[in-house]
Amino acid sequence: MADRGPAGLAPGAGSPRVRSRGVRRAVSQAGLVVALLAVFTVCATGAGTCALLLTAGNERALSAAVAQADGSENTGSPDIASVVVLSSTTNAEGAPPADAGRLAPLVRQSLTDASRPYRAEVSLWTTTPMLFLSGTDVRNGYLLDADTLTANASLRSGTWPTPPATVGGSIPVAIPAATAAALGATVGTELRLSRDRHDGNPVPPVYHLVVAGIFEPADSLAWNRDTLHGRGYDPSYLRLPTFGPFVVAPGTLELLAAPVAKVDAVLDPDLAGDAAGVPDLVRGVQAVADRIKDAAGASINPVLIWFPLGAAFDDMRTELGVTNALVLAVLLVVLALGATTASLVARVLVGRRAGESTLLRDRGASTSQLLIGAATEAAVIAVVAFLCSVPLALAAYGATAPAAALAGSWAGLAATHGPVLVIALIAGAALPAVVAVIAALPERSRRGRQVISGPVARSGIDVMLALVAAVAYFQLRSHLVSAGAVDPLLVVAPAVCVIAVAALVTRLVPLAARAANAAARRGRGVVLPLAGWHLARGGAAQVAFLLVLAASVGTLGATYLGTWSTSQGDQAAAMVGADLVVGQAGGPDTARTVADATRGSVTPVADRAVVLGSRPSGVKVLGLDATLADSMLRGRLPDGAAWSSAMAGLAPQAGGAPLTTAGGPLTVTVTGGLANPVGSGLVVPIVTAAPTLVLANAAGYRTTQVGSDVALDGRPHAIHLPIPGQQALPAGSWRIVAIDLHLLDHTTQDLIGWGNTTATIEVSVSVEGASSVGGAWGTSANAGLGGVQPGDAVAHSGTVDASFGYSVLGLSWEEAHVTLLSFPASTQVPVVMTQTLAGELGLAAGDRIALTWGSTPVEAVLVRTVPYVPSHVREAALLVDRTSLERGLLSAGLLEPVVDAWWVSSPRPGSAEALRAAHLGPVTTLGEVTSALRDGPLRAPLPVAWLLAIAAAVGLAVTGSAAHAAAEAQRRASTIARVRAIGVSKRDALASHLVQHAAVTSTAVVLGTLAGAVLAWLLAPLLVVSPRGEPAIPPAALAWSIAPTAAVVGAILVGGLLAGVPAAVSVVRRSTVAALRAGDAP
Amino acid sequence: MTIPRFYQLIVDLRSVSRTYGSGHSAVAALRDVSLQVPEGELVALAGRSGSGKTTLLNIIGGLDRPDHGEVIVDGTDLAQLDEAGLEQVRRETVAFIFQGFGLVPELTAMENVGLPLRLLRTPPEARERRAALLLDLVGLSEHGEHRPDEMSGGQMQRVAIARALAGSPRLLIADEPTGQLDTETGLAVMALIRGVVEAEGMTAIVSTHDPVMIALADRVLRIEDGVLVDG
Repeated sequence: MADRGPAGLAPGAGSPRVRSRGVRRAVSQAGLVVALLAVFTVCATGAGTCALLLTAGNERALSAAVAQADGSENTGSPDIASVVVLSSTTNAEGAPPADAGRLAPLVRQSLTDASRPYRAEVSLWTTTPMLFLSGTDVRNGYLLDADTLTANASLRSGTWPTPPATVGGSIPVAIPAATAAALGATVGTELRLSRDRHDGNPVPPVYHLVVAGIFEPADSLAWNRDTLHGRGYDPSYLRLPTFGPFVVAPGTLELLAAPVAKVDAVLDPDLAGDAAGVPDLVRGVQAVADRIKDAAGASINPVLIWFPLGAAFDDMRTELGVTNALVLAVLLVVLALGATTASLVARVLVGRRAGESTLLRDRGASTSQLLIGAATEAAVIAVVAFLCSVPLALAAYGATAPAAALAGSWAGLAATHGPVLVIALIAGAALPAVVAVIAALPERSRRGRQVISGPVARSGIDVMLALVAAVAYFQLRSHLVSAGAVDPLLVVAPAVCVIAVAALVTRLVPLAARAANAAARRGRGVVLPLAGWHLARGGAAQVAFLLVLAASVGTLGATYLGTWSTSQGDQAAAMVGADLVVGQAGGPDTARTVADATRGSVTPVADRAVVLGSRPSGVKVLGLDATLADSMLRGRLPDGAAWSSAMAGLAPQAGGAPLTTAGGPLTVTVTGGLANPVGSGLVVPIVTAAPTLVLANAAGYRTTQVGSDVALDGRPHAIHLPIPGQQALPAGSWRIVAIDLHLLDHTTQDLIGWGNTTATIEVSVSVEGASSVGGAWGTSANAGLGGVQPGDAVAHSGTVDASFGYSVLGLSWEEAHVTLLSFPASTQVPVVMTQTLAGELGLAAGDRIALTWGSTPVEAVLVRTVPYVPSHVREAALLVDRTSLERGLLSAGLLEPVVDAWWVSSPRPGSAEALRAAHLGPVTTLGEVTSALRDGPLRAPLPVAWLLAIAAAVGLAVTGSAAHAAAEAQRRASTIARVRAIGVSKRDALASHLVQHAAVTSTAVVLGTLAGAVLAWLLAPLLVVSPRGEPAIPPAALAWSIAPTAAVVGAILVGGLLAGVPAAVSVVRRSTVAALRAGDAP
Repeated sequence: MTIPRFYQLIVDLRSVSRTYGSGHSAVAALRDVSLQVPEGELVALAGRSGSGKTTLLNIIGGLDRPDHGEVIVDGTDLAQLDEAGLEQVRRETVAFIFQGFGLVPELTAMENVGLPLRLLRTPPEARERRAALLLDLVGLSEHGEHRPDEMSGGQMQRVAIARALAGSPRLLIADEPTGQLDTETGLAVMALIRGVVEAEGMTAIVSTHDPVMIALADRVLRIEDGVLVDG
């Protein structure tokens, strides 16, 4: 006999006879072999898809995210770098200030070099030091070389300036309309700016200017680069009237080698959706400061660089790391399902070949020889699975994100990431193959009934796994996700918890089976008892675990997706704060422009950093109309609380008694003087007051109208507003909410005799054409040595009468301000504070703390705390009513408006695009942020990974259920034949088999669904994190997705039930005498 | 003429043939077999292995259908019955005892014996009383809660006998009932069958090559190569 192996064995595994037998055996058991192949393929596909996501997918996602971040200066996008080079006009070394001829090209070249290999646009706004404007009065002006002027301004008259014909000749300039109005200049006007002046005459170098054009600055962020922010005139910039900018043609200052006070550069790289070079770009730009200082020398002050792309890119990588971790967690769950199914199918296959194995053992085959055969077969199936999974993994990878975000060249993909893909596919196919080979290990035969709970439960591994899962769960509760790299706890903990809970819940299946069996035995018929008897016999542990696990995964996945999606919306709402935000104050027409573009409800918002107490780092303040809280604020509060209740008590109680007036020119009459006669021998102080009207319109926009000095000599003095250099009040209805009196003492004679005496001044301020309901006004004073004691004030018609005391000697040394307020004066501002901040400061409701707005101190009174302040999630922040804030600041003497942004509720579709086209500043919409969180390239893989996992759960559950049903049918074949021989009908025999299968399937699926619900309740809120991996704010609220969950569970249940039908029909059909004879064989 | 009940035929086979397979591999298990078994008779069916004994018994018991011929059992032509009809015959008229005992391994002795009674929709109390009675009849009243893997071969066969009697069948068919038993146990089982047949007044056909059983039978039929040589 040829080809005999050792110990009289049949031919070795490699012989042609064995291979032929193996092929024939596989063909005869094609169903089970195909099932095993399907399981291997699912696992390999999952591993391969994950490998692509973590390599090529990450690169593509980062590039897509970087492409989305690519914006412009006026959109406030993070890829824009702002570099400000300040030149010292005087320095210890005596070096001259830098000149534009050297500095501007240096800055431009340095930034261009730093941005390589990206193409970049570099914009320079070069500003000279303050120069003296010709004329009798001492006035300042400055030159500006702005290469993006024409994109940020509209020409009113004349032309844009051209370079001067000769160095030293007339320099064409363009000036803002406000500058022209203040100077009384028109096109053609000639002016001179000089570095110095002596006896009223300019000292060379002198710049001879001619006005070529007059322009209106656009409402754009670019004007933040201008010294006067595009205002055109400031009556008291550095204590001198200042006009400008006088804008020259690009390159003119370089041509003139003019001295430079500031070079404000903006670098706009074209990232072209390529994230690979971003780290180098960030490093290069940060190094520009040293390069410029080294090249420019001692004349350069520290270079200021603001380039948020580095932090933004780090955030992107962190976000991607979080997504990767969660995708890997899903992969682990899929692999657990695959391994379970592989083990199940392999055991069925082993059982089917039990006779053959027994025969081989009897002929002398060793365990290792049988295992080699099993391993060989598993390897062949794994190779086929590998080949099948290549296109499937590529297709799944392509489906994990919108085509625009992740589509790429497949050839390039194969070249760069082919090896990783191959390794992952091999590993993914190898895992279930190893499991299958282990399943082929001989199991000690057990005399008597098999316990349905199975070997896992008997060994107690599930209990140990539950302990590990409990530890992992509690770790996850207190865990902070690692930034950047994949967080291992986030990967492993969910999978461990899912497997552990499924294993524990599977212990309940035999309890249900025994209960069903006991109930069935009491009946009369034969179907239920037969089913119950076979159910109680056991052997369904593995398929029960698989179905429990699959139903758990399906339920958890469907619920997680619903919770995740809802939470992204909640997080976006908290991050944005409103439906639409225009992040710039703009001018008096901004509110109308925003309202016209959005057709929504528009409100001004204060939003800036302040100093709170002695806290070293700033605190954000968000101020808006508290009465609009519910309609305006977005973001969920715990227990469904409303923002109106959170902001209750913040709005001022008293309405105030402002004067109302129309827009346009105003005439203000100031009459004031000492209330009491001056004592004999004392000098009558000469005190002047310059009134400033603080006006607000219906939209909440505030402005001021500054008047000129008038003497408080008892005679009325009329002031016509606007004074030269200011713009008139725009048309409309305005409320005069405050009147500030800037007091100065002009007494030239000796006031010593007054000593510490306080004099009382009565003043009356009338606004022609104004009216009011009348009533008391408040007064406040801001004076150092001036020592002002505010008195009473009252409004009637268009007049406000007030009185105040002041220290005569003190005012002679220092100016003072008396502010007449249309409301009760108080520097206390009720605030709502974040809980974290209150805890850090040890504050409780009712406590007070100093708040410094810019340089103006007020007192914050804590009313209550909230988990977060909208638009300042995770920041130390305060929420205030804007009116209360304004009143507090006005009471403290701050007249400037407190509008930093405009918030909109219920904007119409297309509003954002319209606002961006109007260049009003950065526009953020809740819809866009929500879409980015849900569908952005850095998040897209996660929901798709869960969908694929759910599909795998359904498919593997059905596959495992079918394999188990086939095995069960074979086990019951002889019993079915026997009971049919004694008269059980074919219908009852089929019914008993189906009932048994249905009992296991439905019990396991129901228990698995409940387990999945518990897992969702425990895990979903922990796994729904912020883009940076921090706990979501607001905390994720579990969203039970009833319909999707029912669909998934239904698919597993129906699929599992139907999977048992063919085997049941087959075994009943084959319950002939031949089966009877075979079953009776000894 | 009315045949006295005592002499009423329980089994009447006329020219029954059964062939397995087709073409060159066709095997004629039965060839034109005719036999009659009157009520109350214990018939031994003898023949070597492969002679057609089991096929003949299966056809008589409704487990198989002949290719040709008539099979009349207790006045019913089995060939005219559909599957449901045959099932009813197996429930109400015919009972089998198999060489391999044919017990349901997951059930206790009591449950195995009660199985035919469930098919007859017997109330649970009556079912348990009858099963206990039958187990007592076969001497296994103390083994009612034992499962087949907890009993000896002889005990299992006695349970099978008790189960066969549960439905009070008219015809008892036993295929090599002592084939897996030792001589002494087989003798006891055969004696039990003989005693039950006499006590219950039922008819029995027992296939066997055991000379003791043959000696206990009222009549012996021999079959060789599918043909009855003794009718």
